[in-house]
Amino acid sequence: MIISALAVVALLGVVYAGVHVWGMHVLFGIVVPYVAILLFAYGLIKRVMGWASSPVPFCIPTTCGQQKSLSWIESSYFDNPHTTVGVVGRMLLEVLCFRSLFRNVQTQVRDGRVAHGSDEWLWIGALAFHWCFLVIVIRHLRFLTEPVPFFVSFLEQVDGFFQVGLPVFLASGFIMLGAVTYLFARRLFSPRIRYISLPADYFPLFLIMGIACSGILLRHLVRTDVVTVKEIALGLVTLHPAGSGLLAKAHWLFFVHLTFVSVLIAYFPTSKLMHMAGVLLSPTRNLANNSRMVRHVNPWNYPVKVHTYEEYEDEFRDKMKDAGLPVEKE
Amino acid sequence: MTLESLLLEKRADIVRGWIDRTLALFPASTGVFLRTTEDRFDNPVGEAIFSHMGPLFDALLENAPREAVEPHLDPIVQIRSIQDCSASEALSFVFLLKDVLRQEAGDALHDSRGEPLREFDGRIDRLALLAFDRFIGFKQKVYEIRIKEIKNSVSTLLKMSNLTCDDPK
Amino acid sequence: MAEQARFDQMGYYDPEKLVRVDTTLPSTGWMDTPVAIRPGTYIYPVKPKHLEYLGMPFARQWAPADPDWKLPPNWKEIILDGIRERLDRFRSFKLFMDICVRCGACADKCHFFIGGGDPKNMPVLRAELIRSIYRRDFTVAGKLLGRMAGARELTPEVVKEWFYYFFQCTECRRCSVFCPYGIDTAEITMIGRELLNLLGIGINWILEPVANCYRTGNHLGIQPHGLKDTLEFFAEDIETVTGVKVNVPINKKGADILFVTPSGDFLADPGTFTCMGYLMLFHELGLNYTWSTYASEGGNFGLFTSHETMKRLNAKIYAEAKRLGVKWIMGGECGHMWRVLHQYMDTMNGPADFLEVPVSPITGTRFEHARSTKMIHIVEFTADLIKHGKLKLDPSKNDRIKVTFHDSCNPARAMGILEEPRYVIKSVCNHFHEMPANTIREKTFCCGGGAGLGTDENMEMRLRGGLPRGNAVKHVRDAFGVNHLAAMCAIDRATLAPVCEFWAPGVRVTGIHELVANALIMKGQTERTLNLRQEPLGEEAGETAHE
Repeated sequence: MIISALAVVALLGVVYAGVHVWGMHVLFGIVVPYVAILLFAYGLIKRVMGWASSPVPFCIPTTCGQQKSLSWIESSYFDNPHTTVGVVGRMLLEVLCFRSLFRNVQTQVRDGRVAHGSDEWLWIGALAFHWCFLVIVIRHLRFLTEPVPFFVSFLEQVDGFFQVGLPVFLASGFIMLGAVTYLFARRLFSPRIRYISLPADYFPLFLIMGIACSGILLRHLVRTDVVTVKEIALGLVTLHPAGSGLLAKAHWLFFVHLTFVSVLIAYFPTSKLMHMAGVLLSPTRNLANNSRMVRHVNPWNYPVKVHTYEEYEDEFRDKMKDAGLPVEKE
Repeated sequence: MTLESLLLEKRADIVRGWIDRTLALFPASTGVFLRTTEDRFDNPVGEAIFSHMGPLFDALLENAPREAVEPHLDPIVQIRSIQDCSASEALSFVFLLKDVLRQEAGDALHDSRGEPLREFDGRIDRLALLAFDRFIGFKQKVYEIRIKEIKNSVSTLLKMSNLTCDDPK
Repeated sequence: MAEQARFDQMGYYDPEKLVRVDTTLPSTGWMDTPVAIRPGTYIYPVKPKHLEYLGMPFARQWAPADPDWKLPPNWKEIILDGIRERLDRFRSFKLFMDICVRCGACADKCHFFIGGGDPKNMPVLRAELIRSIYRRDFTVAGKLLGRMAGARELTPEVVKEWFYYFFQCTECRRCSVFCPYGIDTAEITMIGRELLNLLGIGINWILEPVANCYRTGNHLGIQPHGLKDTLEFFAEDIETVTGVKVNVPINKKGADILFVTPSGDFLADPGTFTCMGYLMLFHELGLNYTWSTYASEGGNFGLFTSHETMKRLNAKIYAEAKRLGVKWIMGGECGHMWRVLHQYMDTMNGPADFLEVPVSPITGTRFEHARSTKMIHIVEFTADLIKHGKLKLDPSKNDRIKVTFHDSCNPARAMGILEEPRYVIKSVCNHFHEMPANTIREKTFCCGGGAGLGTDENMEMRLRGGLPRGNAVKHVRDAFGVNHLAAMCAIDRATLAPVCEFWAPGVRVTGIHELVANALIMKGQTERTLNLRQEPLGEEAGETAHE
């Protein structure tokens, strides 16, 4: 864990020194993001193709409800889907609502009062974190597009619903920071989770904390020049990177933010963060429980040595005849 | 102030201390699970410890007869009897109470000049002996069940014969 | 493990010493905690003759407690090649190696962890046992960063650890219900056991039945004439109870239906009574069906060995259906058998284009949901019969029984047959009580002896694993006076009996068709005074339960 934290702090130091002291704006403002994007795209495609290249030999959904069988028994359409529509529904519930994680949530009555387990917080924390992350990513599209699509502006308005502060405080950033801190605290303070945690589990958490903090600081404290940032960002997406003059106008913290994001997406394909893509491919979730209705084909189904009836009867024929059991060969 | 009333006063602290030390017999990652998972069906071991150690202490305080102690001793000893630990580890939770007493009520106990405490230690020792009896009883039960299962698994065979065979050479 | 004082040394009984582990910090990481293999904690290893009979590699005498397991010289290469091959064959395996985020949702879902508390029984760590090797040899990060990336070297100690923990998983899939990515530890355990089998490491309680089944058609090694004797023996008992002489068709060509059930029900009480129930039901319906001696096993311990072994054993069912010329197949009450029949059989040994879509000859119901596999569950069949009012039933015959229903792992989580058994039980019993919601249906707890762990040498381990289930049974016993636990699984019927006897004494285990048969009014029956166990029917509830 300490190593993961040190790695993130070191990264911060390198960017600060690189930009603020040595003036390597081009490196951190242009080269790093491009390299990161390339690594991300390459790694993501390679990983997903790697998974996809292994077949799904058997139909092995985990069924979490009543099967489709007799007409008068209602089947569980999403928890035990037998149609493609049902599977899509199940996957949507899984991806959007964390259906399986929600199963951990139980409200119990203990000593006459309602008790909430720690698992409930895992679901809430995870949900808050992932949704806010998505909102933030979409919000950032306003830096990358011109004109800004309506849904981006709309989302930002919703996000700033509370109308507090100037610029308006956007809830998503703070909620995400809170959620990621919770997820970290959980790893740190629950011995059970701590026991199973690897450095690879802490690193992305620290990185995301760094991204969130730098982002919030840039908006509220440092008040970086948004127009400059947008010009730089547009330059990146239109493949006409900004010149070093323009880059130098942005605050050094912006480069920290940008580099953290770059490292995160470059790191993404080699890490457990790939669960984002992996969940869609999970055979226990994305298959219909219809293995008795439709034959599932295994591409590598090879013939095996079996004990044939003839061999069986050859061994036991006399005993079978003595017992009056029918035989093929007298 | 008699020892009993003193201990009764400190009951909450003593029982908590006893439970804490008992949970510490498990690996740390497990101890927290036992402590925090509230549903009694998701966490039967924690449930047994939490709901029976208090009454067990009360039974000691009252110097209750064997019949009154067993209903609270059994659930804990039964679980410990099939967990992967030695007999001494399994039953050490009884002796932990001695330390807890001294820790939680130590100063006050000094005033009572040790005699009553020695008497109370004796009760704990008797509880340990009873726990030993019950522990062996449950172990014995396990072996009875084993034997019964072996007999059951061939119940038809016991009535008939010459049915099974070995692999051919 | 920290070094312990010997019993005759000072400090052995020191409570402080027994409180070895700090409550906030694990003393050693799991990778640094080697497994302590002691007699009583493992299941006996496979005898070489069984491996030889099956043509499986590296048959030898070895013992888990020995320091040297006599691994083949190139064992490391075998394992790594084995992993590589399986990564290419199973997307599930490849994916599950990569996407776990160690959120801990599964950690307290395993019955062995709940009952025993060994951290390595948390599903996430069970999977990490293989993942750590995978990372080291198959990922860039693991190669470069080593332990930092959660990688470790493959050593003989790792193999021992695999043996210990992959034979302490019942492949019940409960953790997979709660995992946000559907990571299924059963899948990982299956691969883990396949890898161990490549080195000739397996347990006798699985591989002896496999060898038996390969040769004689069933796990118990019952030969054809023995099976006939057994079923006729049941027929005699049925006649004693009902006065009806049921017929026992075996290997009958031209039958409409082939019936296949786990062989555990032939020899072991109380499964035998369920088996009698089948005979009575089919006789009463006048069903044109047959038993088979060649395919006399519905269960498939190949599932607990390797995918290949599973296929080798399963092949007999379709082959026999074809030889006998039946129209479709019906399967008895069993757990893992239905995992194989439902999720593997058609893929492995199909297509069954020589069979017809199952149609009930009594009600005319077409079982469309089995239109490809052509095999239905007997409880589906019976539920349909009862719904159409085709059975004469007297539930009051079961009035002394207060019953609860245990969902078996595989039918619940690899099939989803939840309502049919409940409907049947409620139709034949007047007193039915559910166990708490988080212990039934897809959240059901394992009996602790599935996936080939139901032998007697590890009884304590089984009782540990059975604690969550036994605890829930005890609850309904105390709350509602439940005295019977119904289960539609042969392994359950064998393994829950000890679990109930230890954790909830007074509760007996029964199959569903035993209950059906007791309530069934047969044509030409004499006045029933005995149940199938030949106990007086009039007795008050609970009296016979304590034996």
